[in-house]
Amino acid sequence: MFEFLTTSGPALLFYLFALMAVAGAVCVVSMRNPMYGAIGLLVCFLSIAALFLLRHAEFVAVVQIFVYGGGIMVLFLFVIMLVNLHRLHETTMLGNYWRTAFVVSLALVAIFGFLFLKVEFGPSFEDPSKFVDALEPGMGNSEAVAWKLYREYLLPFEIASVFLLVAMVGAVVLGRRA
Amino acid sequence: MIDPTEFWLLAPEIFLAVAAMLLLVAGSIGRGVRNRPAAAVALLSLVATALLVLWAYGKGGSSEAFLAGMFVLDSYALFLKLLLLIATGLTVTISGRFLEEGGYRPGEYYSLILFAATGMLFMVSGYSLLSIWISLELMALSSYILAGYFKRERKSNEAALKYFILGALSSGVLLYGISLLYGATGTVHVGELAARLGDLVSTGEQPILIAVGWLLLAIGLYFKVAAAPFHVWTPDVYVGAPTPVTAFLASASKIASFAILIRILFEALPALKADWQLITALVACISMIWGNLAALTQDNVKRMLAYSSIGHAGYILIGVLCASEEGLWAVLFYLLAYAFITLGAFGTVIILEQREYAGETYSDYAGLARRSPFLAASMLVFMVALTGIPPTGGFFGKFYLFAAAVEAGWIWVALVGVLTSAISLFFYFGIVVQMYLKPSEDTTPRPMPAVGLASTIAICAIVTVLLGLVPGPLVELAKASLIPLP
Repeated sequence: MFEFLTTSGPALLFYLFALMAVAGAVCVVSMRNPMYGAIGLLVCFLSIAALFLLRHAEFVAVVQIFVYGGGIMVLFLFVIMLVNLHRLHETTMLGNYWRTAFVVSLALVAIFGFLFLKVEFGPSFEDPSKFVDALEPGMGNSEAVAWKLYREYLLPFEIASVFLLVAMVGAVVLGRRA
Repeated sequence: MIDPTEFWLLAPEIFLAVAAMLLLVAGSIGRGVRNRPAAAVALLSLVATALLVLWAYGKGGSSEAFLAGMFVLDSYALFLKLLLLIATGLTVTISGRFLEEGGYRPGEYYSLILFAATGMLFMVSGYSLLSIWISLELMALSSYILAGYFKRERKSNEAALKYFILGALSSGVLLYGISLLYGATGTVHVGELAARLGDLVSTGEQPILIAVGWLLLAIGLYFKVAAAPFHVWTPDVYVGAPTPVTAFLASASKIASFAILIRILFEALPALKADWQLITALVACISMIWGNLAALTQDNVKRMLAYSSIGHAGYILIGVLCASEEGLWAVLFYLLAYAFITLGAFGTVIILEQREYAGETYSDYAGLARRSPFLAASMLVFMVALTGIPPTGGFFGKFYLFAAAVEAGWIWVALVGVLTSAISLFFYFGIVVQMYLKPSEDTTPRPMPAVGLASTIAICAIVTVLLGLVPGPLVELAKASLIPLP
């Protein structure tokens, strides 16, 4: 019993959190009350953070919780509380397009499902220690990300800062009274 | 490893971004800047950026990527950067009227145009899928905001929203493709990606991952250049956006998107050449046929020009799919000619436009030859050029593209191109017939348009005709600006 848990513990945890992430995502699109939808989204975000942890990506996991679980969720909740939501109950989201949407999403699920069944992606999760091999000895996860980000990927990082400035300007320009 | 002195070679991009930020600050102090000084500052900074581009190329121009392999300053990037700066400059000169009459703030407008141009400069120099993607997003985000700049008009709001949602979707598709290719090869660097894909393709490893990855990547790029069947956003966005912004999207934005499409197909995916040639041929034919047939049925000139822009994306793709030297320089020639033609045509539309999107139908052009011979003559030049009739740059552009296709053995694609060009005669000359043969109810002469607008249209018309009379120098320039063939 316990042997089973130690040998396939990571796998069990993976399936648990993956299931929670999917359940959260289904919740987001199916709940009528947007507040429940937002909670579902939070469950989805946190489970994905746990999945990152299982792959030894501690830095990404923490960022996922800070940015998505923290910042973006607060924004969503603000919007939900500020916007009058009673109107949402009366409209159907896709209208007459739901059949097309259903067929298209089924086709996409089939294509990507086939893709992910067929392809071997990197080391499997049964042996997470392999993920650490990519780092230099004695280097932590955040340190490795920082070295990559501020040296190799410095240029995209800097362009992203201009990008965020434009996003902010855009919010002000479009939000201001005409 | 990055050598700090390499940052000097980013001087043009950094300068342009700083100029955009200064305009932004100037626009938000007190009552903001007026249109003319803002436009003058924007123009001057574009000129200075062009000089810096030349200086940077002289200092460190080579086909070797630097800044940890993220940035490349080859002659291809030089040609496109100068072309993009010219197109952006012409957009600035045709924007004044709409800002002054609508009472919209010019500071933010011009700074967003400059931010979009910064993104474009980074795009054409990008040598890593990551830096290409993020600079593409910088350009796209600025364009979404500009498309919604007519805040009081519902059509403009609609355009911005549609552009944003479909643009975000296509960026997502693009990124998904990049991530799958990264999963297969472990790199986003264009050169390394090409080498590893070559190994994987020759050993037959990971075929599904590579196929789905590059297809998603290519579909994202076809979205961005507005090629059918990925064009659904184009007509509504082009009609709803403020006309100078539409001109910007149809010229500069399209050029930058084609630049990265070619860079990625030629330099990152040479191992899959046969596959992408076939898909590009299909997309090119669908774009030419659909764009030109749909343009036949329009009565709004902006909408007609939107469908014509889809058709022209198809013509340019002909040169891309040849994957030959002739095809590539023909594309560069066509991009330059097309930029001047579109900017001129949309400039003329701006003059005839009145508030709330009036003055955009074919019948509004009736009798224009009597009322304003200058406008009618320049519109005639642009319509002739778009059809591809000599003596205009449009003729040589199409001629070189079709010749390259025939030489590379894609005769059926060239045939579709010739046939759809013949169809396009009907809707382009619909305007000419209105201008010269139909009488107008209103026969008062039109007042001369503002100097900036009129001189931009004149410059575009003159360049269009000059390219049709002496295409040689530009051909030589384009021939000197090639990238390695796949």
